[in-house]
Amino acid sequence: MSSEFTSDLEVSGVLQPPFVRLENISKRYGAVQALDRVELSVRPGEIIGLLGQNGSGKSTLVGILSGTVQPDSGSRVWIDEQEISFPLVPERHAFSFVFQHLALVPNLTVLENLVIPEFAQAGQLGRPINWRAARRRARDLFREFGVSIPLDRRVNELPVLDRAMLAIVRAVANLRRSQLDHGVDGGMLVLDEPTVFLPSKEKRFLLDLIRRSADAGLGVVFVSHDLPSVIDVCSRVVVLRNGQLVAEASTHEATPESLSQLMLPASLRTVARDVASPEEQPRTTALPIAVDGLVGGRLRGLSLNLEPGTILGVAGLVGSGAQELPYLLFGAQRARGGRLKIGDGAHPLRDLTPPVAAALGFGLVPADRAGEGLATGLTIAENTEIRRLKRYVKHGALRRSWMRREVGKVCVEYKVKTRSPNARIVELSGGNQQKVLIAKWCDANPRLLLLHEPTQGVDVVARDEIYSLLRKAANAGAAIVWVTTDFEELVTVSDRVAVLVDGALTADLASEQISLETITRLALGSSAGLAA
Amino acid sequence: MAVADAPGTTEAGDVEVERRSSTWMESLALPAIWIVLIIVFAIAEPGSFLSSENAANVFGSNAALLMVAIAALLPFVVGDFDFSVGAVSGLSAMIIADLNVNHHVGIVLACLIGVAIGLATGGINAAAILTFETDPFIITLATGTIATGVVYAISDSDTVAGTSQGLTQIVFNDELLGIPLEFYFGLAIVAIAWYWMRLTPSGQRALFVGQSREVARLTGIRVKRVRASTFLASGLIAGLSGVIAVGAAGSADPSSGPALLLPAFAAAFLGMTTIEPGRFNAIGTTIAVFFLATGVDGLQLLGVQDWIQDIFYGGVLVIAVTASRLLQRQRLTR
Repeated sequence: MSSEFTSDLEVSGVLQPPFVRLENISKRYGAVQALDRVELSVRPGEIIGLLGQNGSGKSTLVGILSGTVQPDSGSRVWIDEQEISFPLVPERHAFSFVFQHLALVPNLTVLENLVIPEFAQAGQLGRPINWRAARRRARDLFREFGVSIPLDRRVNELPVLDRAMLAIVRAVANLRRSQLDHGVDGGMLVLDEPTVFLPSKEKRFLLDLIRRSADAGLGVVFVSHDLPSVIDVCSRVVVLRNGQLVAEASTHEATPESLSQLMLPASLRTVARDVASPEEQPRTTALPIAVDGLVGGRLRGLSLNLEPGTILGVAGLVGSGAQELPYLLFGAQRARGGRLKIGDGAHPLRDLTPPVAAALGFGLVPADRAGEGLATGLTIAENTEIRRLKRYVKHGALRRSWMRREVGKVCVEYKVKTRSPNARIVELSGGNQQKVLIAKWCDANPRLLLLHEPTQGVDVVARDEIYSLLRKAANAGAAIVWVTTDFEELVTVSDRVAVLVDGALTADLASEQISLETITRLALGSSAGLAA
Repeated sequence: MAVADAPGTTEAGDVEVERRSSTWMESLALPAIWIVLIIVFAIAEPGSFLSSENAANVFGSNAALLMVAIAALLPFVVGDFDFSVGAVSGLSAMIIADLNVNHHVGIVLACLIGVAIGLATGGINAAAILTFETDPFIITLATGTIATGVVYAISDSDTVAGTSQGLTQIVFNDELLGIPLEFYFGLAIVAIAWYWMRLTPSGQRALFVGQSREVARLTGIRVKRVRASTFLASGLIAGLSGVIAVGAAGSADPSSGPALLLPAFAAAFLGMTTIEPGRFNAIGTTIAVFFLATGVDGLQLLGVQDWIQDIFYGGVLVIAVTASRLLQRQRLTR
């Protein structure tokens, strides 16, 4: 697979020296080698696709470019053929970044958002803003890039496409200002998943804008999972896997399938399903649960059967709507329509709230452990028992010593390593925190357990323990919905896998159909032609 | 050990010893400073400060402040603010005095009306804040200011004196162990607040809401209901403190209610450094109230003018908030 690429520029014989050249870039976090001797060069006018699964090292590489991550020694970088030392200072080298969240201020106007960065730097205090000149510059900029967005509209009133375009145009404007301030000729624009929230028919406007930025002489790095867009706009792609650069290829004859092949591990991981295999005969007493026509967030009419005793993996890229599913089914995010059937009963999803969901026997393990899952300043006991305090009340008072003894047993059962059930959550490691969060719901034998990235930031040992804890919960009769972008994990744990693309279900894979290749291909590919 | 964990447990903590030793030191800091303060005043003013009359004065004349501090504490527990507690206490007191003195309403009925007004203000705060998700800071500042305005309107900016002797008898003149009964009324409120926070499921849920609204919501706790009930309880207790204030003074002074706000806040934050360090708690607040009372009392005996109160309360609030913030940061990183 290794590099046999010919870029368009090379063919046409106007090969320019790279504006940025990275060599031997490595970064280690403890035991994890996030980047391993990676090379990358970006030429003026070139658009490069940076591809890789989650955890492949893409974000570390972008972090190094933006100066927020310091690479390990031995890493080298040249800008305009001059070697410089890390960390990089984006303004000085005329680098500009657009991240998925766009970093616009929603309550300010388009013009104000364009002007902010100009005055954000130190030493600008007290310099008056010349609004008329700023408006003139903004108009010129918009004209140059063929963008028409009203300058006085507030950003939160803009359609998503206009927001993305504004963020990119602003990035180019910042970049040009750095060029002037620091006397740099070239420039580099890094776009991290900018198309995620755009409907497919609007993407081409954004891609046109990216092309125009490159035509203006900038090097562009396009980080994305959106393979059709990558093929459309990039001249070549660079693929990372487990921190290593594993392929560089021209996009001339690439297809989404051929690119997704490059991102997969060479030998598909042999899966230790025994850690987490279903019981011979799962309990059948629990009522079946079905989601019927769920509309909410980016989901457009999703119907799914959730069987008690089984783990349903849900695969989908960011923006596919998969990430919203657990929150919608818990009432934490309000659905616009659809019903939830439990046995013979039906509940309109629009009326579902977290207290109602909890009373129905649902549990939610959110991805944001500290912000949404656990009260980190409180103790393990206070967190695990919050849902079932009543049982510790005797003669009108909570018996804390009794509660502590019970939680001691819970800690053993859920393999929470701690010196005491009265330890505060902040004192625990990520893996142990996650086990507390799982114990909080599982110890009450939930009917439906909704998981979002349940092993995020968790070490390998704890991860396997979490797999078996959740399998145990399934065997006890819970229906489990497991949402993650780590598709290898889904292969390991799922009895069924549902694949979501653009807010719709495109495949419902039975146990024997589950493979990393299938899930990746289905989730990455455009919805067209792949619908099951 | 017994101090840090005592309420609600029957057995001494076993596994907790190593961590608890440092928490234990923390939780003793405020009582230790209190003792130092007493020793200093005892040396400076041995005759008057150490007398039993003075002790009875410190303990027996701060029940209204103690209750207002508990009223301030409850919204803090769930992560809210109630800046109206002092003014509501004053409003309750003034309504009781005005009804009783100027309109010849029986004292029992007048007190019930005063307390009901306190509860109603809590309800207004809850409704205004929770219905439209507005900032409790601003809303309670506003309702408190309105309450004070009403007090001045009712009283013509003057003290209303001559309230029921019966009430004064029960609140102030009758004594137990040499301390006026109001002290024990205050302690009763503390006990109820402590019981609720420490020994009931709803108190635990309130603690959760105070730690993180989002976590509480995603746990299935009815966050708004919990917040509303603390505003109601806060208003109710502020109303009750008005009864005590009228009883103790035999009159209602339009400026006395709002003056309770700052020391009440100082006590709630200072109380956070002791008993259950890092958490708002009722017993710590109580200790803090009497610590503040001791300080003001001693300074006044030393002949310092009344303005020392404001400076002392303000200074302690700054120190208390800083100290509890530092403690919190320390526990988060430890």
